[in-house]
Amino acid sequence: MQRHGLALLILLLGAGCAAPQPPPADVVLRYRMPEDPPTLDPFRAGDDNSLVYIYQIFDGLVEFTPGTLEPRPAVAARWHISEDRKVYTFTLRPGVRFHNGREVSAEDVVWSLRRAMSAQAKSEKRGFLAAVADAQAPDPATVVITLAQPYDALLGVLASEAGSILPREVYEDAAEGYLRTPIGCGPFRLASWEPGVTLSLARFAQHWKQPPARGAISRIDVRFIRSSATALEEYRAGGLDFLQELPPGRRAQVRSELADQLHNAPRLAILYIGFNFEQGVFRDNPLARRAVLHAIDREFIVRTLQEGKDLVAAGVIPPEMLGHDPGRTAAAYDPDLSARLLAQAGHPGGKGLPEITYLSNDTEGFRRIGERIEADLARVGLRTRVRMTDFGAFLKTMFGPALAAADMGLFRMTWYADYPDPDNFLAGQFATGAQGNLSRYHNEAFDALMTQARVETDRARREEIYRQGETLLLEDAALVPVYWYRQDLLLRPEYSGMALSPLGSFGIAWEEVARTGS
Amino acid sequence: MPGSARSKSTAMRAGAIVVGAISLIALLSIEPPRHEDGGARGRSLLTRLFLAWGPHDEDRAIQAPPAPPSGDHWLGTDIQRRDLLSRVLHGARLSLAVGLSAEAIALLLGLSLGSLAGYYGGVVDAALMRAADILLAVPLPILAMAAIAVFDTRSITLVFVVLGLLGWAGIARLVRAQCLSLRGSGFSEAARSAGASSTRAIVRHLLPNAAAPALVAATAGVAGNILTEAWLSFLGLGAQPPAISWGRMIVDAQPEFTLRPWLGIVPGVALVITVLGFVLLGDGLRDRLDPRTRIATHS
Repeated sequence: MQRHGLALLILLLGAGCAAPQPPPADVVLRYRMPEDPPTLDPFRAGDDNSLVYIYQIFDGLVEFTPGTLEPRPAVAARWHISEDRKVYTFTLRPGVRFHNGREVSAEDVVWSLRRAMSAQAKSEKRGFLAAVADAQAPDPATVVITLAQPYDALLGVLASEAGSILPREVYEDAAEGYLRTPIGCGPFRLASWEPGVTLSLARFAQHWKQPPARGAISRIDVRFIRSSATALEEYRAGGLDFLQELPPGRRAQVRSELADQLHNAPRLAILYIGFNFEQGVFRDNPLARRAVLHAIDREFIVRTLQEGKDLVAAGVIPPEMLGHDPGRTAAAYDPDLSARLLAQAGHPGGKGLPEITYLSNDTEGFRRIGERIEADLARVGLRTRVRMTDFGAFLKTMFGPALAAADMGLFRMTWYADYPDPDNFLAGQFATGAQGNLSRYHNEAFDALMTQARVETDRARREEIYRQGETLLLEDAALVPVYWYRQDLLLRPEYSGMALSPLGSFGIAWEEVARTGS
Repeated sequence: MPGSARSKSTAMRAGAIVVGAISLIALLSIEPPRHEDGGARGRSLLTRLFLAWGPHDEDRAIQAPPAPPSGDHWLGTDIQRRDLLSRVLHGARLSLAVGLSAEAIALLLGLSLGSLAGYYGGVVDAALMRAADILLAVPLPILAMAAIAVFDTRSITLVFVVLGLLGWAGIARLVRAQCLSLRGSGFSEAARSAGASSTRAIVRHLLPNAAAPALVAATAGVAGNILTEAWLSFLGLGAQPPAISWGRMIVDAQPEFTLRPWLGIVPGVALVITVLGFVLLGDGLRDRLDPRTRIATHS
C-alpha cells in the first residue's frame, strides 16, 4: 500500500537543546518523528507514523528475528504445523502479561485475531488473514488456527502488526479510549502523549523478554519535528539519538561527517513506473513498453537524484524477500535500443504517438524523477507531459474506478510490503482484480502462477514459482522497476545491538539495544 | 526639480533597456514546436546563435552534478546536468509570456469594465466596483491558488488566464475614476450633444483619455504577474516540465542551497532584474504620461 506522507515544509524550531539529563540509571533514547501517529490501533495503522509505536507496544504469537524476516517464538513459545499445512497449533509462553498486569491467555489471542478479521472493528488487516478459516482456544495455553487452504505467509502476517494481541476488556470499549491509552504486551508501554509535541514510551518491566544486562533503554522519548532539515540540525547539536530520514541534498555531507553513525537499511519497497493497461498507447504494445524500459536512466536516478541511498531494481521482489532472484540484472539503459524498439513498434522517433501524460504526486524527489523521465523519453522521441498533483488527488486517480478515463499513460508508484511475502508483492500488485493492481494489468499465465504459489507447501518450489511470475512480468514489460528503497538511519555510536530490520526502522527491536558507551 | 527629473528619466531608460533586452532574449528563445510525428526537440535561435548548450541538453561527461561554474558551463549545471546559463536565459520566455498575456487580459477587462462603470454609473457602477473591491481584498496569489485547486489541473495556460481574469480590478478602478472626471468635462458633453452613441462616446472619447494611466498600471502589473507565476511555480502549481520557469528553478535549488547557492541565486537574480525593469519602466511612464508631472519631466 501507499504509505507516503505529504511532506509539508513547516519549520518547527526545536525547543532549545537537549532534554534535561536523566538520572544515571535511565537510558533515554531521543527519537524524532515528523508528526503525530494517525492511529494507535494496530489493525488500522498503515504508515510509519503509527507503526513505529505499534511495534513497541504490541507483541504477537511470533516475531521477526531482528535483522531478518524469519519468524521466531514470541508470546507463543513454540508451534506445530500439520502435515497438510492447514492447522497451526501454538503453545503460549507462561506468564506473559499485558501492560495492565493481566496475564495473556489463548482466549485473548483468538479474540484479537477475530478483531483483526472484523470489518465491524474497521480492521484494515482483513485481507492479510483471508486464508484463516477458524481460530480456537482449546485450553488457556493453546491456540489452534485452521486455514481454508495452505498459506505460508501466515507466520509473517502474525509477526506483523496484524498479529498484535490485545486485552479484550480494554478493546471492547465503544468510546475507543484505547486509541489514547493503548494496552498491549510489548516491551514498551505508552507513558505520555502530548499531541503535536512529544510522545513517550517507557519500558514495560514485566515483559517476557530479558533486557540487555547493561544500558538497556528505559524510555523512548519522541519529539515531533516536522522538517527533516531541522531534525538533522538537532541531531548534530546532540539533541537526538536516532534519526531516520535525511533532508534531500545532504547525504554526501552526512556520509563524510557522520560516517560511523550512518546506517543504510533495507526496506521492502519498490519505486516503479507503471503503465496504464486499461487504455492508451501502452495497453497492447509490449514493444513500446520495452522501449520505455530501456530509455530510462535508472542508474542516474539512484546515484545522483537519490544520492546513492537506494538500490537500482533489477526485478520486482526486493533482496530481503522470499523469491528474490539475485541472478537478475537490471534492464540496460540503452537509448539506441529503445529507439529501435520504438521503430519496431511502428513508431520510429515517436511518430504517430500522442503526447503521453506521466502522473506523479508532487514531492521534491518525485519532481526530479519526473523531470528525468520526461528528458529520457524525449531523447528517444516520446513526448511526455509531466503531471504533478497533490497526494490526495494522486490517490484518487490511481485507486479510483476511472483510470480508463484519466488522461494518463505512465505513473510513478511506491509499493511497501504489507507483510513480508511475495504474495503481497507480486500478486498484490499485478494479479487480475487485486486491489493494488493499479496498472489494471491482466495476464492469465501470471494469475495462474500466483494461485498455484499460494497453495504450494514446499518453500523452495514456492520460491521458484514466484521467480517465474516475476520473469513473466519483466519479459512482458509490465512495469519499469526503478529502485528498491533503502532507508538512511543515524544512531549515536554509544548505542549498540541495533539490528536493521528489512521492514523499516519501525521494525527495530529497541528492547534489545543498549547504550554501552557514554 | 530638474535633477530628480533627470534621474527619473535615467531610471526609466534603464527599465526600458532591461525590458527590451529581456523581450529580445525571450523572442530568440522560442523553440520550434516538436513535430506531431515525434522527433527531437527543436533548438531556439538563442541556442543556435549564441550558446554552447541548449536548455535541455545534458552534459553526460559530468560525473557529480550539479557542477560548479567552469569554462564549459559559465554558471555551472543543475542536478540533471543541464547548463544553467542556457536555462536561465530560456526561462525568460515563460516569465514574460505569462506576465504579458495575463496583463493583456487584465488590461482588456479593466478598460472595458472600468469605462462601463464610469460611463453608466448607478447600478452598473456599484455592481462592478463591489466586485472589484472583493478581488482587491484578497491577495492575487491566494486567489490564483484557489482557482488552480478548483480546476485540479496544473498548466501554465491556466495560470495566466486565471491571473488575467482576476487582475482587472485595479485597472478598472483607475479607468472608472478617469471616466468620471471626464464625463463632466466639455468635450464629452459636446460629443453627446452632437448625438454620439454611448459606445462611440466611450470608445472614441473616454477611453483614449483613460488609456494612459491604465497602461502605466498594466506595466507594473506585468511585474506582479511575473512574481506570481514564479511563486506559483515555486509551490509546484505553475509550469510543469519540460517548461523552464525561474520559480521552478529556485525551488529545485532549495535542497542544494547550503552547498551550491548559485543554483538558486542565478534564477533569483534574473527574476529581480526583470521585475525591477518593469517597475522602473512603469514608474517612468507614469511620470511622463501623468499631466501633473509632465511639465517637470519635459522642462
